[in-house]
Amino acid sequence: MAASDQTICALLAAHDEKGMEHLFDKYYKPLVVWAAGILNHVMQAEDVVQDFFIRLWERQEGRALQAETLRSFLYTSVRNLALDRLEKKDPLRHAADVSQCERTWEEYDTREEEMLARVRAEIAALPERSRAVMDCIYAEGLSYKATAERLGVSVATVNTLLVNAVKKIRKNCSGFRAELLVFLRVRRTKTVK
Amino acid sequence: MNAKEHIDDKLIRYLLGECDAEESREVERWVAESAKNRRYFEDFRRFHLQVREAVQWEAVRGTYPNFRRRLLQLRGRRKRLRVFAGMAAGLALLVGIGLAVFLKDNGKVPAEAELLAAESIQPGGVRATLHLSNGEQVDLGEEARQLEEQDGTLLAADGNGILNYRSGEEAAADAVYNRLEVPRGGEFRLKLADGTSVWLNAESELRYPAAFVGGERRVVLKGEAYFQVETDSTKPFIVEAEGMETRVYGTEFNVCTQQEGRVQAVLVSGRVGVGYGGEETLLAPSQKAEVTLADGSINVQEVDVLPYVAWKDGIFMFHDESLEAIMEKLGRWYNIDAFFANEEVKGIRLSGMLERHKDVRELFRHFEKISVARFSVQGNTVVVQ
Repeated sequence: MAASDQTICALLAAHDEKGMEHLFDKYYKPLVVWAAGILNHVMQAEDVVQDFFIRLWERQEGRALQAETLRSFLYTSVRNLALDRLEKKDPLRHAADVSQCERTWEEYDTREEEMLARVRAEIAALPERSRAVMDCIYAEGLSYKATAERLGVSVATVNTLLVNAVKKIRKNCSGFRAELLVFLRVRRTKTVK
Repeated sequence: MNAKEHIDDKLIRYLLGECDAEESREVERWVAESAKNRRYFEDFRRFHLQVREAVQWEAVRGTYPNFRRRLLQLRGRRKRLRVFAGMAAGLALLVGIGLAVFLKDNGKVPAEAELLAAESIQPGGVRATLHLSNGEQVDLGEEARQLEEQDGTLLAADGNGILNYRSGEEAAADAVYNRLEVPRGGEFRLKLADGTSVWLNAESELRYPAAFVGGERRVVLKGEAYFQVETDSTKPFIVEAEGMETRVYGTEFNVCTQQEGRVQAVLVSGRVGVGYGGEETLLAPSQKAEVTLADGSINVQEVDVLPYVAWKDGIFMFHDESLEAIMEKLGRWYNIDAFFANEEVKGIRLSGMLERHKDVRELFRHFEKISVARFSVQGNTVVVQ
């Protein structure tokens, strides 16, 4: 069970390393994926989040965090850092992802966890070649062409492997999706204040 | 866009930015055609985002134990850095990517060494020889020059020791190679066609394409160089040195050195992979990878990075290094040779620093104060006993 934001903030205020561990366990992965949505690159996203955590630990600001605003503070900061970093990258290649940059953290934070877990399981069950293609494209932000070169296959093969993989996941998740929608409506109405 | 099964195909490409202008318009027209299509698109887009996030989620590698090491190690490093920074008086901390490899000692003997008057040993300066793809050689020094390569790439030396590459109008089909050779007592800076900056130290050379072509950016290094690599996730930057390959992943890492039979890479921050023949080893910040050429083994250890990279900012920094290694490094810049009258002093371990434009004898005087070694300068030879 993840630690509460109150616990994390209290431990960090005391500069207790345990606070860093709880923060990491609870927020590291979601923040990396959040930043990766902007940077289109998981490793660079990891750098951004780790540098940010280190800064929190080393500077006074990490000791003055408020539990009520912790979540929004984390997401907003990481987003800004990722956007700073994005500016230094090729703007053309990433222009296709503006919708991603415009997404609010609340939208991201309330994403459908159960659905994601299901999608992850489906991806794990795919053949290795399909997963390699997806890794290049989604985790490293490579183009079809660069992916083809990396894996030593044609661009057409990359296209086919990717499309088939996405279709298969979609098909297998569609039944699950219907159930989930009902569940989510319930959850959404509960979280609205 | 009629056949249903082609829609997903095109939508994926559209969402990934792989469509050309016409295809994009086609997709947009299809989406605008009906409310049903619009709903399908929105639904598909959401689903596609989930797939992407799921893949990204699985690709996250950081764990708390690894991160914790970085957290604690950084604290240690910061403390030590502060001490050094005090000594260095305003040394800018390095950002960017650096990598350095010291050339194997090839036993060269300077020919005219003994003729110069011994009053003061001159530090090196801006000096290099450029080998163009047609075999022509151009000496670069303190005057500005403009050149053009066969593939249309423009070369400009600014007279302050920087050689700039700017790609031509048309993309080149085949790579055209240049080689920049920096002699003993020289140094030079390169700005490659992709924007990457390279600082070449004395007695070093780099071979690189005038414009980068193909799926990777590969350069071949002999000697020592510091790299500040421009990020391009579609084209990894690879530094090849004596068979060791350093592959650049992140944007902020640093340096390596070499004694005889060894190649080293030291990472400041970010991420690089080091490989020699087979497996690639990922380095964490403040780690040094050392390849032993004889058996191809790679050894990784934690180090203090600053002494490895300070040369790039015009500073010699030695931290607990053998006098033999120190004299070798000084020799490359001041063009001096050490003669050890007493074998035992070779192994003395010393620390110290010196700005590169200063008289090297200042450093010798410092070493005499803190050790039993004694230095006497005769022409370009330094006798150590």
